Amino acid sequence: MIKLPQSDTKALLAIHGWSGVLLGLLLYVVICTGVAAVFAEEINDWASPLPHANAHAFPAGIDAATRRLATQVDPQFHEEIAMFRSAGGRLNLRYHLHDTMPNGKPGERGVEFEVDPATWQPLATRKGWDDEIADQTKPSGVAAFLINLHVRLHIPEPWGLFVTGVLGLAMMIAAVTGILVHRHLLADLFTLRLGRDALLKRRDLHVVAGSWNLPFALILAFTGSFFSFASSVGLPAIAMVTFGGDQAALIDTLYSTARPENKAPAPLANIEAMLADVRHRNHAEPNYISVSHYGRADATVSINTVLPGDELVYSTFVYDGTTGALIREQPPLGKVPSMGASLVGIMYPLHFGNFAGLASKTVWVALGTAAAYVSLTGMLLWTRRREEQLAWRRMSRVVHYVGYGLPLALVCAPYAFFALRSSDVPAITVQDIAFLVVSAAAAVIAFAIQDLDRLRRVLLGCTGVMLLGLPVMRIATGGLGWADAWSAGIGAVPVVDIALLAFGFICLWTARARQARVPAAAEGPAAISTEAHSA
Amino acid sequence: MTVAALLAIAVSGALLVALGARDPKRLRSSRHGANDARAASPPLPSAVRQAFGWLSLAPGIVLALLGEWWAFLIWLGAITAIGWTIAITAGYSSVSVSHRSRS
Repeated sequence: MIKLPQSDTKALLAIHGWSGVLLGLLLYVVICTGVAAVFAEEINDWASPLPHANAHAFPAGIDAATRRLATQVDPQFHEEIAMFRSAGGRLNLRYHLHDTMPNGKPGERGVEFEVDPATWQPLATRKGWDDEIADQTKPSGVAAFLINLHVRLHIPEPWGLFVTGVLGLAMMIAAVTGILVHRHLLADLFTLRLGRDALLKRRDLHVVAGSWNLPFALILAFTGSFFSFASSVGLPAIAMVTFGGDQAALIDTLYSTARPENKAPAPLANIEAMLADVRHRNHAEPNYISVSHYGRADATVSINTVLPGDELVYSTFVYDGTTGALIREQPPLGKVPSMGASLVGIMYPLHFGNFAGLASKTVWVALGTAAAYVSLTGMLLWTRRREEQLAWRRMSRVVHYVGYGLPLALVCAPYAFFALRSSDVPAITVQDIAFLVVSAAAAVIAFAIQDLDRLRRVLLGCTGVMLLGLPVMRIATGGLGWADAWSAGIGAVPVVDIALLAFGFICLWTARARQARVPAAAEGPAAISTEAHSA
Repeated sequence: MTVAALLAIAVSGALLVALGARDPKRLRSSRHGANDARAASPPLPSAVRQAFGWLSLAPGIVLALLGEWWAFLIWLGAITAIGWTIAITAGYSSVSVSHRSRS
């Protein structure tokens, strides 16, 4: 138990509450989309499966396909080839060069082929700058929409990253002040007074979820802030100090796999032999290949794998592109192992929860759900205790609108994706529009329904119905049926459908129950006594 | 390594179940309003609770000291999820016990 003077406790309580409410609404959006984005790969496999499963990202034939497709692009795009698995087991090969965009910023421009690695038949070809290629990419649209909302709230760069970075810091402040304010943290870990008054029940549910979620909240908040600020603030700042503002030079120093320049023509060594070598060395399946200076004597091939069974920090295997010999195993930062490189490397599994496959992802989703729950219930408790004041009463309505309207808008966005996936409109744009339309409709509902509990039930009920309808919509617009998916070994399709149906029923079941209403006037003294009891 | 993580989770999880089921504050709360004093189990003595609390952390500490960070993370994620589940399950079961006692 931490003993603090009463004035300090009050000040910390105020910081805890205000930081939570003011930034909590945006934080709630970031957390909810982050929870869904943990399963981005599975969501994409569900939304855009191929008719068959592809066990390996880079099966036999990748070497020939790389050479064949290289003949179909302008040789200037041989500067770099990026190869990676995408939705449904598709394989993307992006031939590109590093160039200056029309707005003066560095960018990548080229041609991307999307192929089915089972047949090596091209499924799509996209051209342009990185952003333009992303706009044309349909199969991974559902997860891309969620990730974009999670990472930058659809705010243009770099401002979106600033905002989400600040939100991460706010989450850390809320967690730390929560620890200091709640002085019986350990003693109350199992205290749930559910059978007594409604306020105590809500408070205890919030505190218990928050207490158990504390380590995870701190980890996610810190790593999230790191990712937001690393590229938007950290990189430019370091470049300013050490490279006179030249970010490209800094990136080269930190991440480059290039060898001394030699423009003489030379054939590329066999990629499949290098893949086999990586599999043997790292005991893990490759998931990313980068070929620099294809067709030249200074070519290098860099290969990453999924994290091996008991590792948390990834390595890049760098090969001589002409001989196929391993040059070095490169850490996430710099060219030799260091504590800094390990710390940067560990940020990824800590944030994405992907270090132990589905098991760790499931735990991360459970704890992320707890974080979303703590965020929402914290805002509801804070605003409802002050409902006698008009401003807080309005804020309470806004919290209900965002808290229960956001999941509804998120669930509705994929409907637009499925309905318009054959159109020319970018997948993210159609989902943005659907998201905004449903958000506007939810705002009208929130304005029209005076009783907040009824508003909660209506929005939850709508979310439940839309969740139940999503598998139907997917199949109705040409998606794989369960039997076909199961016989083809594509587990993501039925599993995600069943999860959606289960969550739909849970929403409908939750919407049935009317919450006990506690008048604001009655909540005040109870709240104070509760806080005093905790203190 | 997976075995070490699962073993650590099993040990910590079992201790958390005991701590949650026999938590004095929760039991006191569930007895509130109940007519039947036998409605819930007796709470764990304070010394035993403290011992169980520290012991539940021990597997994680051992994994960290051994530098098994992969297993440590699995353990940390799992016990926080398990702890939250136990708290909610125990809380709702207390309500039903209390209601049964009153009826």
